[in-house]
Amino acid sequence: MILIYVSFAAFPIYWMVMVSLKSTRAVLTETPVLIVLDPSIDSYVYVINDTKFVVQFLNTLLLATTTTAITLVVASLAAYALSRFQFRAKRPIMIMLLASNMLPVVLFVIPLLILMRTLHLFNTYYGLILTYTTFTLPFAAWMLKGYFDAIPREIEEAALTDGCTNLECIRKIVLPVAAPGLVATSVYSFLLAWQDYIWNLTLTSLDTMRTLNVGINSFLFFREYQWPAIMAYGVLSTVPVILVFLYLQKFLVSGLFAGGVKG
Amino acid sequence: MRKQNVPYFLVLPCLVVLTVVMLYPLFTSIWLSFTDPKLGDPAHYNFAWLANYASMYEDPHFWPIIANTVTFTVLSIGISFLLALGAALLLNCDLRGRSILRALAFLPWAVPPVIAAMVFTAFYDSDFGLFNYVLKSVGAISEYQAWLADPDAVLYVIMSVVMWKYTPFLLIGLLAGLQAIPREMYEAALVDGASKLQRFRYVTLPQIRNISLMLVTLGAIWRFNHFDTIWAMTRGGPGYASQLMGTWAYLWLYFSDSPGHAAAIAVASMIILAVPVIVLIGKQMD
Repeated sequence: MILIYVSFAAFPIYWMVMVSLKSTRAVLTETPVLIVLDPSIDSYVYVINDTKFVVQFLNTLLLATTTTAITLVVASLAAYALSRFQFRAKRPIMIMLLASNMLPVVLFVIPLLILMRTLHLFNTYYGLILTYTTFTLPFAAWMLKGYFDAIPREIEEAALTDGCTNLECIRKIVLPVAAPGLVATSVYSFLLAWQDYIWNLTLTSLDTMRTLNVGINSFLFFREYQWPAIMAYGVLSTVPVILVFLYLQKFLVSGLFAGGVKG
Repeated sequence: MRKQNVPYFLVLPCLVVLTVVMLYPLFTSIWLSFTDPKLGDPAHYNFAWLANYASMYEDPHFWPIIANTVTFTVLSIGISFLLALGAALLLNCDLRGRSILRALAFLPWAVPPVIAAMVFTAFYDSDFGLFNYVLKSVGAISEYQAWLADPDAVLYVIMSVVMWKYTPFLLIGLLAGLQAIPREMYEAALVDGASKLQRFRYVTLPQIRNISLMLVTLGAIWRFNHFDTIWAMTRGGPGYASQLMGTWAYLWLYFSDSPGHAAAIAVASMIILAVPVIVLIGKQMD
């Protein structure tokens, strides 16, 4: 019973891989098959050599990792403050973090497009990374706060009485214990950044600045019947994220619901 | 005195970033919706007050698009929730290899929406698609249909993609909620002579009420605001058949010269969403 559900979940990805392995000749037959009888990697060679794939892959990788790094640093500082201190701005900040998730993307896209154009950040990595933090930062801060909340204060207090400063205390005591949370947040950030479509679509016009998602969409629209190639493009674009995800999803699951499961 | 400023320093970088990428756009969007600037000429903003909202309201596509958006949201979250609940109940039993199954079930969430859009575009394709092939083999249809070009079907087609991708999130959340229910409650119910159905109704359901409400609220918000999959599959077409408020706003931004009008649509969609959300959140506060 469960297997039915899981196979529904996994099937489209399986199918994508299968089609990508079809030789160009086999596509012209009308009947789809579940297992490819004479696989060929022609499509993969084609995608890597004759399309903009490599540039887009590197762009996506660069953007995802940089955004994750920045988000992690900024969010953990903020999360630590939100978790360990009481201050007047705390409530509005937390509401802001939560609410930003609930607003339509377009609402942010319109003014930021104008802003980026004015600041000459159109078609630049800086502009993109800055806007990527729109969606990674709030949730990251929220998640990390949940994690920090779960770490008992006694550990820090013990360290403080033993004589280390506030910053040392964070570095040596809290961070190691919060490591799973940091990993979870990085995975989440990375996933979100890799999945972006609208920001890259809106804020870039040069082929050299585009990411995988935008690239594959234009590839789809212009080469409608080259399915093996399109699927190969898709497989190559998804493999990194799937690997990251499968390897680290344990952390992610506990992280997402750290504070949310109440009876 | 110094110590009290520490949290502000720590939160500062986060606040700076958020102000730039969140507060500034939010207020600018609202302001923009009241103006009528030309995108290439930002120096000349004419105040058009409610003109943008009026023309949006009078647009013949306005009500169909709202209908699309509401249908999309309500149906997809409803069906997703039921599927997720069922699957979570099944996964809650002690099975071997459960963590592998869970990881696989969660996989669609990691796939970029555009990639999923691409795979499903192929799946529903009118000449090559697996969907048509299966339906024809079973005898449900006589000819291959162009599902994505059919104005009546296209919204549901896209809904299936979104459901494929996002049901796992609900599943994992519900599973976490189910696993948090202490065994003693079930045992106590058994002692009192409760049947399986009664145990479900009186122990399971109340315990997951809170997390269910939270997941459904969040999910509904995200679906209402959804953009990527729709834009990647049909750009809102054919015609306006699969247009939601979010994509409609983007359409105005991209293909016409008035970001003010686009902003008006975006702000309007935010307001329309706010009403049920406030109600739902109020319910959760009980």
